[in-house]
Amino acid sequence: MTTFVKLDNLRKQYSPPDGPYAVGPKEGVNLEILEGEIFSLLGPNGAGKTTIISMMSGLLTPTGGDVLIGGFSITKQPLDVKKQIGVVPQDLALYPNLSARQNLNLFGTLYGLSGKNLSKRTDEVLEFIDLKDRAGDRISEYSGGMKRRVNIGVGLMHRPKMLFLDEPTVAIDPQSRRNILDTVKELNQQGMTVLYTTHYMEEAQELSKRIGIIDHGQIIALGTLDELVKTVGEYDIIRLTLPEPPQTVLGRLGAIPDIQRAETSDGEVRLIARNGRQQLPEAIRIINEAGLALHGVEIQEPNLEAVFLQLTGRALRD
Amino acid sequence: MIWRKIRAIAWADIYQTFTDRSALLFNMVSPLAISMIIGAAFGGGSNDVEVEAAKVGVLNFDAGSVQAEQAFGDIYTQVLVEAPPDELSEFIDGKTVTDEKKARQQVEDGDLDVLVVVPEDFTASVIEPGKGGTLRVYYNPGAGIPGDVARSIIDGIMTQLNNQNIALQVGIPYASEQASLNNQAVDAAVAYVQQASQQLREKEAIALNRVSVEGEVREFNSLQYFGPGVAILFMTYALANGAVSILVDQRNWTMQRIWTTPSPRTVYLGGKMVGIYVTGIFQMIVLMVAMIFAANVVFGSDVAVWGTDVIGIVLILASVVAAGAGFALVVASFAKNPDQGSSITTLVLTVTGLLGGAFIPVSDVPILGQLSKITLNHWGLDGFTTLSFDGGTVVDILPNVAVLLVMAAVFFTIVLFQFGRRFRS
Repeated sequence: MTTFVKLDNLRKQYSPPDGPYAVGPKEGVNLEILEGEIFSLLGPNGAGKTTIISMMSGLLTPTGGDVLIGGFSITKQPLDVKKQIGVVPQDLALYPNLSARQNLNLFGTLYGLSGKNLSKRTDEVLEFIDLKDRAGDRISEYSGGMKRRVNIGVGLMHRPKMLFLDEPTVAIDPQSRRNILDTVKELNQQGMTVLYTTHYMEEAQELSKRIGIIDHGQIIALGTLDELVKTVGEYDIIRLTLPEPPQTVLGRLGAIPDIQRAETSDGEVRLIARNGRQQLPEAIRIINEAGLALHGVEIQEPNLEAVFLQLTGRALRD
Repeated sequence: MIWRKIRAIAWADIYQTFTDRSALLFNMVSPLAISMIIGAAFGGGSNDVEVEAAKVGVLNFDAGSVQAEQAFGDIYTQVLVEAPPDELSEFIDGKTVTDEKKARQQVEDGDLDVLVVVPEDFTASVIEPGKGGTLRVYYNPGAGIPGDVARSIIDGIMTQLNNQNIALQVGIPYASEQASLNNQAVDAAVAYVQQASQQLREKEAIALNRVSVEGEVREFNSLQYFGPGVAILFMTYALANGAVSILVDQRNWTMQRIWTTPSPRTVYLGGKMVGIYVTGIFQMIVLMVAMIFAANVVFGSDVAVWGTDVIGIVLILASVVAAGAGFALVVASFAKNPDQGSSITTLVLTVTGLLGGAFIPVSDVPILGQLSKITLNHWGLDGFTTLSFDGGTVVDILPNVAVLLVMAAVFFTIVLFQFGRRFRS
């Protein structure tokens, strides 16, 4: 597969020269996305995912570096880039007092469609997002999942080569999430390149072969799921649920041989442990000695969560 | 292509505005209702309208003339102060005053509704062929119907004097006719007030005849003033909603999404401006038609509420909406978010609307009268009343159009700068 997107030393600093960097505080972000792949950018809230998508779609001007999409530079040929991309923002960027058809018509016109092409494409998209029967209803009358589908549909109106989806499953029910993930896969099967940002590791694992992990505006790991998990080695995550703050025992837990790191938040202790099942009895003994009640225990096999935890010391959703 | 995109954005705005029931209620029904209520209060009320006596001050400097047995200024003193006919006493509470400065202050303070100053050469000027006398009449704009009645009496006497002057000029022996002419003036004034009061009682007072000091008779309808005033104010509210919708689009990310389409950013702002402008024009036209219906059908008047000069009406309409759109956008562009935008625009537009005379005439009120000239409401309202009440033509309202267009140009320049700065990425 050939490279379709190239982020070249991309940086964004707010209020230069002294403002904070949202992207690339240490060094510019470099990344390549291949034509026809689903690439997931995984990171916690505030990691810089939306800022990167905003620069890639021409909403924000990079402080440094450039983005090449389909051979066009976003800084030098923004309109050529925009013809090739569809953007699905995290917010429901729709006019609530217009119907789905009216929203699609409006954005279709802004993408350059008109006349019969516009109405034909609107029908196709309504069919694709399965809302043809409700096409005339106002967006404000839709359920959350239906709104999300229209939100995606707007980004498809001009048959873009690439689709940016910025956390499209935030705050929706499991059924709607399933629907969106299936839609993304279907679009990819039709040949569309997809950039998918999320802080749900399960979504990144399900959708993408290649994943980038981002934190504090830097891509801290990049590769296939297997490659990333290998960086953790055979480490598991032990999750211990406690009703009281476990600060008193955190040091002792971290000192257990073969436990690489001990973290806590929200009444939960997370231990990154080589062969977690063997370390669990010792951990429980320490908690019992401290007089703390243990409410739950879970051992996770190595996954992206473990990768992120090991790289940053924080959970993805912290 | 660009125009099609601008049109699409404008259409989306207009469609949303005119399918929003609460906005329609506020922008269309409210101004109409307010105008009707005010219109009724100033002339179309119930059968039992009570008219308070007007407090009239007369300052008579008239030195008379050797050709006239009686100084004409004395007629005003006689009719308004010393010996008002029984029919007038109900409407006039007159007194003579001696200090013009103090009396004018009393008018400003509302202690007097009307002040009549008869200059020293009044009689001499009236009877001199080809000249004509001039009265100085000061009135309190808030005096309402009593003030109107008092001015009508004063003007009625003036009309009779004008007629008398014409008679002199065509050679009718003046001296022999003098006494009867004086009586005619008084009789005419009395008859006039009787007619006016009768009309008030018969709900027809909306068509109070007002006689100007030049002697020209013109029918007055209160909707000619309050209609445009209220319509312009509510038009600016509607425009403000459009302006604030930019902040809503920013919050909802629809603006940013539009910017991700292959369209220059100016397309978005252009579409918004066109949408706001068309909304304003449409709202004004609807209100204008509704007020014509109210005046001519509901109140039974046959005056042209907005005048008869179509080109003049179109010019004032187009320019006042342009200035209003620019002003609303300027105010909204300084707000941080839609909520703040709504509050600020409502406050600013209400203050400028009141200052511009939306509900109460302020042009003759010291300081406020001058301040009102910085508002688009004043220039729009003045333009419409020039065309209707004063019977002006397109030439008469060109200064208003020019001022409004300059305002619009200044406002839109500020808007482009402000939004350019605000949305710099």
